[in-house]
Amino acid sequence: MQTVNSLFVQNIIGRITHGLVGLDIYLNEKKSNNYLEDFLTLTDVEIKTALVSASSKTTLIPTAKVELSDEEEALIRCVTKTQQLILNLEEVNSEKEIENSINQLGAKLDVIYKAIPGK
Amino acid sequence: MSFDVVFDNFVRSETHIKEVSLDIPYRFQLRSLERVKELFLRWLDVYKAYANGYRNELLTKTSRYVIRMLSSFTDTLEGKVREVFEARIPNEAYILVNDLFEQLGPRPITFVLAEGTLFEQTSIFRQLSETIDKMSAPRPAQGTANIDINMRDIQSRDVPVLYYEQGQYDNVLAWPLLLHEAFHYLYTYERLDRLAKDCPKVSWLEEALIDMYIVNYFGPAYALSLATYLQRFPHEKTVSHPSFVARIFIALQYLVKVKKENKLPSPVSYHTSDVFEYLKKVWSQQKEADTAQVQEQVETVYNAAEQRVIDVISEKAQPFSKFLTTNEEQRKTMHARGGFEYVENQVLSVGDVLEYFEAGIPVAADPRILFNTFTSRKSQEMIHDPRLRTFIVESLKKWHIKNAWSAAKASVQR
Repeated sequence: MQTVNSLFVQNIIGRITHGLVGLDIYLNEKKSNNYLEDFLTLTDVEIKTALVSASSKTTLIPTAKVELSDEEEALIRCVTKTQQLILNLEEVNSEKEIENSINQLGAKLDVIYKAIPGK
Repeated sequence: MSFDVVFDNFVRSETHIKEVSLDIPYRFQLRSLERVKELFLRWLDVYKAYANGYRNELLTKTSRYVIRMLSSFTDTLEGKVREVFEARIPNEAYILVNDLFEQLGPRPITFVLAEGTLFEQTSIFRQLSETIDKMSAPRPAQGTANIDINMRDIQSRDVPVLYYEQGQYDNVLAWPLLLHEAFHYLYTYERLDRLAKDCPKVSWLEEALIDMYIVNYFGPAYALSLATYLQRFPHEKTVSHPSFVARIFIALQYLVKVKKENKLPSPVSYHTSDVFEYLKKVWSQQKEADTAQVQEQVETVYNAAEQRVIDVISEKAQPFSKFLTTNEEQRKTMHARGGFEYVENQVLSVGDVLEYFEAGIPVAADPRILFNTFTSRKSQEMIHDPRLRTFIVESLKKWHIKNAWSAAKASVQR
C-alpha cells in the first residue's frame, strides 16, 4: 500500500524552500544564514522517504517499498548539487551561478509538490 | 511579491476551523474535539508566525516559492482538520476506545479518531512538528517569537490522534484494531517497556508486545480483527514491524493457551475454536520462507512476556479469560437473587447478547463481551449485514449511557 505522508512531504518542501530563501538572502548579504543551514541538513534518504511516503508515524502495518521515478532521482541530484554549491559559496565568483541554482532547484520543486495530491 | 494572498488564506482557514460544527452526543468526545479545534487554531498560528517572518526578509527572487510553500502548508492543515471533523466512523467508536483508556489508562485520556489510509497513531503536536522539524524560524524577532510559545502550548495540551483505514469506517468488526493504536499511547505513557524484560532484543518487540497485550485484554475478537486485516495487507517485515507470520503467530499462541486452559464458558469457547481455525488457515496460506525462525522468536517473546503482560493488565482490569469467568459468576449471582434488576446492575454473557441480537434489541454489554459475541464463523459471514453494525453501535451507546447513569447515581449517593 502506497500512502502519502503529507506532513513529511511538507517538511521536505519547507527545507528545500529554505535553501532557495537562504541563497536569495546570501545574494544580498554575502554571508551564510540559518536557512542555508536548514537546507544542508536535508539528506537524500529523507527525500526518498518522503517520495515513497513511508510514514514516520506508528502504524499497524509497515508500508511497502516503491521505486523512485527518473524525475524524482533528478530532484535528489539537484538538491545534492545545490548543497555542494552552498558548502563552497566563498569560492563562487559569479552571482549568476547562484541565480541559476535557485532557478534549477525551484523548478525541481514541482516534483515533490506532486507527491501531495492537487498541488 | 505580496504575501497578502497567504494571509487571506490563513483568515479563510481560521474561519473554516472555527465554523466546524460539533453536534456530538457524548460529553467526553465533545471535550476532545473542542480541544483539538483549539490546537488546530494554534497550529495555524505557528504557520502565521512563519509567514510574518518571511514577509520581513528581503527576498528578491524567491517570494513565490515561499508563498507556494505556505499555501500548501495551510492546505495540508485543512486536510488534517477534515480527517478529524469529517471522519465517517460513528461516534460510538469513541466509546470503545474511551472504555479501554478508562479501564487501563492512568486517568481519562483526551483523544480523537481520524479518517486516513491506515490504522496508525500520532498526535497533534507530532503532526505539526513533522512539518517543521529541522526548520529554523525566520530570523526577524518580530512575529516569530510566537512560534515557541504556540508550540509549547500545543505540546502541553497535546491530543493523541488515532487513524483508521477509510474503507473500514463501517466495518465494526475491524474497530478493535483501534485499541492497538490507542495502546501505543499507554505503552509510552505508562513506560510499559518493562514488559520487554527478558525478551530477545528484536526491533519489532513493541509491536509484538502490544499485540500480546491487546489480545490478552480483548480476547479472540482482537485476534480475528488483526488476522482479517493482515490477510488483506501481508506486508514484508520492517524495522518496526514483525512479519505477517509473527503477528498471526502471537494471536495463535494466545488462542492455543486459552483453548488448552479450557476455562472459557460457552459459546465463547466454540467461537474461539472458529477464530483459531480461521487464523490457522490464514497462517498456512501466508507462510514465509523464514517461518520456523520467526516462530521460534515469537515463542520466546511470548513465553518471556506473557505473565508480565497478564500482571500489568491485572493491575487495573482483568485479562480476558478471568474477566469472562468473573462475569459468568456475577451473572449467576444476579440470577440467583431473582426478582427485578435495574439495568445498571444487569450482567450479560455472550449468550445473552446473542439472544438480544437475534431479537433485534441492542444491549448495554461490556465492549469485551459485545465484540466477542461476533467471532463465530456465522458472524464472520455477517460482516456486511447492516443489522450487525446497527446492533453494535446502538449497544455501545447503551453501554455508555449505562455507565454515565451509574456514575451519576454514585455521585448523588456520595
